Amino acid sequence: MFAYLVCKFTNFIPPTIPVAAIWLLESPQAAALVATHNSDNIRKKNQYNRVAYLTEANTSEPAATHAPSPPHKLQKIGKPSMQTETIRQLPEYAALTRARKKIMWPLSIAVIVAYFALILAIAFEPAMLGNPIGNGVTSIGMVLGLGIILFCMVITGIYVYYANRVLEPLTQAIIKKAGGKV
Amino acid sequence: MKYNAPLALILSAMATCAWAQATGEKSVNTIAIAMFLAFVAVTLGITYWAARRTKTTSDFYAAGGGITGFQNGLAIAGDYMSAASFLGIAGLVYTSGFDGLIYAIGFLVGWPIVLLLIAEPLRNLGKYTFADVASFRLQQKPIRILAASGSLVTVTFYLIAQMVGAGKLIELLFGLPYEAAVVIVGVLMTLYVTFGGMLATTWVQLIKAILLLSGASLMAILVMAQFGFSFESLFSEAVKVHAKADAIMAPGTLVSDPISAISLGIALMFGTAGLPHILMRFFTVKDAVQARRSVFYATGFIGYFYILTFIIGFGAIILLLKNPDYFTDGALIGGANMAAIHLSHALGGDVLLGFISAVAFATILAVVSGLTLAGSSAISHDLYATLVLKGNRDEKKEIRASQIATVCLGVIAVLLGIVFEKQNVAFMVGLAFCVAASANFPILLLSMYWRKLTTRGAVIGGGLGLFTAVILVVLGPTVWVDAFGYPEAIFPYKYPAIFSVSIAFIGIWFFSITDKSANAASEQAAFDAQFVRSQTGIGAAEASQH
Repeated sequence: MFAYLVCKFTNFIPPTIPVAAIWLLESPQAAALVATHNSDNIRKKNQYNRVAYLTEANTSEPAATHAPSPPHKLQKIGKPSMQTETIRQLPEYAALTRARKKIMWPLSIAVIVAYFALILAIAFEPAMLGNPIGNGVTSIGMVLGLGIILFCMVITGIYVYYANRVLEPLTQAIIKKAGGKV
Repeated sequence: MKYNAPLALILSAMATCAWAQATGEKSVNTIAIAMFLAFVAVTLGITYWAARRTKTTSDFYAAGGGITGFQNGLAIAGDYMSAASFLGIAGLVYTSGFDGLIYAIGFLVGWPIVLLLIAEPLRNLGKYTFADVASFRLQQKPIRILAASGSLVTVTFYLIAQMVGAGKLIELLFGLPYEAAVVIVGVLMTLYVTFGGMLATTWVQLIKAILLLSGASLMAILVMAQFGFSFESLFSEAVKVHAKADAIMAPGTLVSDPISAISLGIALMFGTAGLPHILMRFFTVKDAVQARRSVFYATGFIGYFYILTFIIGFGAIILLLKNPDYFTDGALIGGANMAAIHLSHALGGDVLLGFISAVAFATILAVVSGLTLAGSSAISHDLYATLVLKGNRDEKKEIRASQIATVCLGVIAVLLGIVFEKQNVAFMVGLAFCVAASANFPILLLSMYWRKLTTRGAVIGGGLGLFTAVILVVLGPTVWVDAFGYPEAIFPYKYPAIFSVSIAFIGIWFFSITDKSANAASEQAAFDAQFVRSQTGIGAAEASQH
């Protein structure tokens, strides 16, 4: 229920916030890319608007229209196919991998640090965790422990929100350029 | 595959009724039996419906990829919230307060890691099992053998723990003989998985998750209502009643030294990301978007559930310790693990007790079904299809192999359940997590993100991790002293994950970077193509249609 409410709630946040976020985290160019894709999503019906920016790059080389081979074939090929190289050259691809790294590692490290900080406190300073907060009996450890449970939920919420607003438009653009096949 | 389900339904209902009557004089629990029979009837009906829709391997292993993110999130929660964690954590909170919370947190913190690092690449690269991902650019045969071994070891330990727990619980709740209880669980899970595949298993998980979350919510609300929905008054009342007084607000004896504490933390956090029955669930959704939505919902439900369990544990301290009816000779009837069950009686009389008992049974059934499906896919998809069928994919044969494997696993699970009846199996869930963290997780993570990984590195390092984890647990206090009865453990720590996970990563790293073969070079060169697909999903749909 909690998760559902958060997810519903995030739908109401205007798409400008992630654009601003990626501007700060990434670069004005990446933010522009995301902004283009976001506004395109709003005007979904007009298909041609969506690819207007595509002409700026990659006009000389037509995007490959076939999807890469299934795993067992890939292995035999042994080196990257043209499809792979074409996608790797796309500005959206560079923006996607950088944007993903910028969210993935900080959030992972935040969870790992928070959890192991508590674990180390349990190992080395158990008495400190038992100290009550204020005049009551509720201890520091209880608050931190329940806090970490909520923290995990919040972290997943932040990532899903960011991924849907920032990573997904870039992914869709790459798929479109690669021939529309997933 | 559309035979036998209704017949089985009638047979098992009759059998259960007969047992219920045989133990008639102590059947205080008719409500529980009625609710349990209703659950069995509904789930077997679903199995019948699912069997008619299960025709291809994609249907069998992945429910045709047609589960939504929300449904899958709930089903993941259903797979993960076992009766062991519901009753075990509530029991641990009841005995020592804060220590129960350490486990609850440990079981949850793996989820953000699954979401951030694993879920989307897994969906984009794999088809039915995590071995698909690990062997994406590496050699099929050795990697699949290793991944399937890791899966089967994890599934077996987990399954033994669940079967023994199920037998004990049902024996106590329904008055059935232990063996009969284990056989019922074994027969039902085999029916679900053999005939209904992933589709039936998913719906069993969904129903169970809804039942468990509603039952636990109701209990927690009833507890909190007595304390004006204030944690402070709940805690202060518990401190007044509990023999350990305010010690229940601080870490106790669960983790006594830093090595054990860190080790337990590593096993729980990274083990979650290596559990085959959980990883398999990501292939039931359409794409990476739905995969991440699944984890978001799953984390919400699981976190919420552990908070409820924690409240239930404290409720048990206050309401049970004051009431001598729940004790014989100064000990809680059935042991601390029954705290949540007794609390349901204290809160809502026989009706709530019956409901919670039936929910506990449903929970066990759902978890063992998920485990059995993961085990049988490792056998049929990773071993049989790759080693026996080789390149010649034959859907009918593969499904048949999977069904035979399911029946065999069902029989083995029942036998192991009976063999281990008298053993303390609590360590087995910990061992399952430790093996998952030491073998499955490093291979999966590095195959997704580390260009230099080679087959040799993965096989030697992953094998070392698997081997070390099992050996160190056997030589450690839980098996060497508690189970074998030797006076002193050869390996001093209860939780070996800090060593076995490090050995796995170092082994994989060392044997990969020193691998100068031509094969290694081509595997490393294939990383770029794999990474593009793992990031964008391009090519993923094509693979899963086959």
